[in-house]
Amino acid sequence: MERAIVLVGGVGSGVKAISGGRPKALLNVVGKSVIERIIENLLLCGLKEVVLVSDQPPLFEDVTLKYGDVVDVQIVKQVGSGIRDAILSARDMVGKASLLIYGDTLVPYEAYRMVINAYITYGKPVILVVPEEDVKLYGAVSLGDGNRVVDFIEKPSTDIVGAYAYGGIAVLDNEVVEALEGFANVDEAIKNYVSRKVLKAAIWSGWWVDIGFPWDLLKANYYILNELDEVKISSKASISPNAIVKGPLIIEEDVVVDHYTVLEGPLFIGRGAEVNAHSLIGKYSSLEESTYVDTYSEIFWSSVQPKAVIGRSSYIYLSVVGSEAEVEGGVITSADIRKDLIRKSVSTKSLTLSKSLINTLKFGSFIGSKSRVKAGTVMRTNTLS
Amino acid sequence: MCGIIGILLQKKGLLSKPLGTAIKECLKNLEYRGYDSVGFAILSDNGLIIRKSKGKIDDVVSKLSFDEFDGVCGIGHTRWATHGRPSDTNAHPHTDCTGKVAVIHNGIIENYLEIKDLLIRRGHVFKSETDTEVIAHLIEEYKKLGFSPYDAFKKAASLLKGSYALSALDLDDAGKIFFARNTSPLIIGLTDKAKFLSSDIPAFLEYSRNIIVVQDDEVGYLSNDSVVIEKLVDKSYEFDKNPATAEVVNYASRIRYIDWSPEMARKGGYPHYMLKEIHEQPQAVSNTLISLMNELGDVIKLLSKAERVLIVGSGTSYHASFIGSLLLNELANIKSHAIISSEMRWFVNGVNSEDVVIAVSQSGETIDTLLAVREVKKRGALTLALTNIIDSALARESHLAMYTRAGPEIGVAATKTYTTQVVSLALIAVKLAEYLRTVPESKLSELSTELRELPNTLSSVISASEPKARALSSIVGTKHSMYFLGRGLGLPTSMEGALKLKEISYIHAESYPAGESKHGPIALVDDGFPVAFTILGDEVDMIFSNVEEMRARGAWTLAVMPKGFERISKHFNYVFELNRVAYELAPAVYIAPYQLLAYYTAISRGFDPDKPRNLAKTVTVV
Repeated sequence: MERAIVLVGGVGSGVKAISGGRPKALLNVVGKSVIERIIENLLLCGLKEVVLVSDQPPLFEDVTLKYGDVVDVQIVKQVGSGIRDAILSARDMVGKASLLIYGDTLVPYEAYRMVINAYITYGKPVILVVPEEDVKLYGAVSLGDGNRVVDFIEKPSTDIVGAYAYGGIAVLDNEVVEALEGFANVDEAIKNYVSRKVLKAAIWSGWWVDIGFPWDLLKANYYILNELDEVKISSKASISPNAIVKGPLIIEEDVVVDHYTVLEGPLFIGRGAEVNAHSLIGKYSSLEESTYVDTYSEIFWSSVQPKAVIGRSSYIYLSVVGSEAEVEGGVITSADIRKDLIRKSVSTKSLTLSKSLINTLKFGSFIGSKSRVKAGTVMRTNTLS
Repeated sequence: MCGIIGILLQKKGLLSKPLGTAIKECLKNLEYRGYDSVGFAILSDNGLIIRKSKGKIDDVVSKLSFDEFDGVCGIGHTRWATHGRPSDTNAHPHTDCTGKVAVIHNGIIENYLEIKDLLIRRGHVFKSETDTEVIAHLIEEYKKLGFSPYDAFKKAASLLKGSYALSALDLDDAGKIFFARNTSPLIIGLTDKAKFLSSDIPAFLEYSRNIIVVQDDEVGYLSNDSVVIEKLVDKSYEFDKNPATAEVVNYASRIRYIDWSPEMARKGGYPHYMLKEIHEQPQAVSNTLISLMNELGDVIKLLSKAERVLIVGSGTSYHASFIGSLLLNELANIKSHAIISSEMRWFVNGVNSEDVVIAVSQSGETIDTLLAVREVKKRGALTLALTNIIDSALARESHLAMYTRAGPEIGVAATKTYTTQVVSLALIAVKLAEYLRTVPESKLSELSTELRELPNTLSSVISASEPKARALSSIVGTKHSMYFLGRGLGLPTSMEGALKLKEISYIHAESYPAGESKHGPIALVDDGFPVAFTILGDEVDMIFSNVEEMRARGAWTLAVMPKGFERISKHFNYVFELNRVAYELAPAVYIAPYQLLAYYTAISRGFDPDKPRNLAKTVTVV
């Protein structure tokens, strides 16, 4: 297999506020956009050609340039909206057994390989499925004998017992694409296909994040930073000699870390970012490029998107700050323990992440792209600014 | 399953090693598909050389001196017996009457008896008990009718019903390797020096990374200058003199490049063997039931006369034994006890010729279990082996052998072999109850119906439990210790659940009879201490007081239980609510959530579930 098709169209209503209306695939996760992470996974699998299907091709030109030397990247304009239209926009290529990837899915590259490998082993089209409790958020796949797909619902309205979440990675063939052409929606097309032909599922048990909501960025931060096992500080970064630095972490070029700052990894600080005196940057934080954190601020397990500014003495906890947002001084994101949620045992559904946080189920605030939070604001849990 | 390999060299010596050595190495990579017999056929300067024998690959290759044979073209086979026990004659390759045609095969030919009869009537002499041998004679027969060797092979393939991946060499068309596939996997590997044919990709990955997957109903051959693939059409299955109809396949667009490690390729669509094997359980149970249904006659008669039935096993096999002994007591009113193999020696003085001992071992090589069998035989007891490996040491040393049909299990933690052991013992208990008329007709028919449905039930329980197990693993993964409690058949199920958790996720897990938990173990329970309850149905009310005791001390409680007991299920922090299954058969199904929980907990803690530390698949030391 040589080619992958990545569907990067659509804005994603769940993260629109954070992304400022740009495609989800361009959101940053630990220093790289989602689409960059996908392309790097494809390189690790030895694929030589990447086709991006987008309704806004110009926004992906930078990516094309960045990877142009190592992989053949081309962009196809998506006609229509939705997954079916996106697939049909590249129908000839999808039909020729290429790896098909949803542009909002982050997963270790081994999952890609598993799907390709299953396709070669079975000689049948294959989709990735993930055992997730709440399939409503994803797509529901029901399996029969020998992990044959027996049903697929793109947007389930109720919980389906025994269904797996569609993992956003597949190898299809011409007949699946023909079925898609023949029906108005994905569900009916797949139902029709699986009633006649074999569609296999490959089950993925490792981490998997579908970027649908702001807290998915926090999950992705956690998983990616957890795999970090080194301290990497650019020689072009300026770290105060009395800053306290505890790894693992990555600090890129032109980062300034001022006096008495405490950095406690795993964390990431992207190029051109500035962290001022007496600040504390805690675990699972990712300060993307050109962000600015003023003095005496505290940031813990949060995603600060490019060019966002955090004012003096602010406390940002389990929160996502959109690109170019301005958080003025003294802003507190309050992440109360949601006991009401724990009772309903939702604990297994959303932020079930680190050992210490597992039962607390907290999350902070999600601050929109280019928005401004007034000085001294105390933001209650789950505020969307 | 069996593994097949074919290698065709552009000229001799191109792999910088004798062809026999290359075949040996490829077969070694296929060992997971079967390992009871090994053989090869090589076309050398002196004609067709065939060497084959029963035994493990390493033993056979030195015995038959694989390394000393060279040539340009050869095929090899590693066997997992299905038709005919493992023996030198039943090992592949199989030949026709003239010795010019050599065939290897993976799969099952369903209409082989019919073909065999027909060929015997025409004067063919069969040497083995296998289904495969008919193919060699069929080719010979059609050659006699004037077919070219390849046309004869093609015709033979078109007459076979069932599943097969097969390959053949024919001295009359030297320099070609014929192949055909239906259902069983077959892959071609291409390089400029050599061409390969194999049951899976890893077998030849060292040499070739360009592959073509042969599809169902395709036949063809590898030769020095080409690869020909044709698709059989309009298969009539008529033993007529018309050539098989086939269309040439253009496979250029199907050549794929593989760039990953052999280890990964074998797992199909799974990240680990253990998960693959968990998902293979419905098929394994179905295969086991189908084959055992017809093989139990002697076993039932033997057991019905026993004064007492002892069942011995180690580890997971002991838990299956425990279930077997409870079922024999409960359904067939037979005195039965399960004993851990390594503890058997302390019980042997009471064993005599009135006893029957069932020995349970996946590998059939577990030394503790073998020693137990030898001890009880000395005292006159009759012994019955239940194992997954045909003709293993345990099977050979016991008076009677029964086999689970789980297929090879690679994951060190037993999963599908456990469920097939449980199902086998349950089937024996039900059949025995029927024979001895110890349970009412209505109950028997209920159990028989549910036994048939078991693979489907297990399949839906696995699907329903997997997302929950994955979600739950992040909680269980933070604990240091856990209790598994159950009553009756729920106890051995709990014991197996605890064993799975401890052996792959390294969390201390202990199982107790629920009623016994208040006599000591409860002292450890405090806020958040995890306690799992296995409830199969009949004992639901009895166990409830134990649940209350644990909850009163702040335990975090989990239940694996049937649907429909809301008044009880609402008291747990977390519940796997499963399809209802007859209490007697539930252990084979209700273990699945625990297997999945152990697997996902190992993953969430960053451990490789396929390679638990300090453990070996087969324990051959006391």
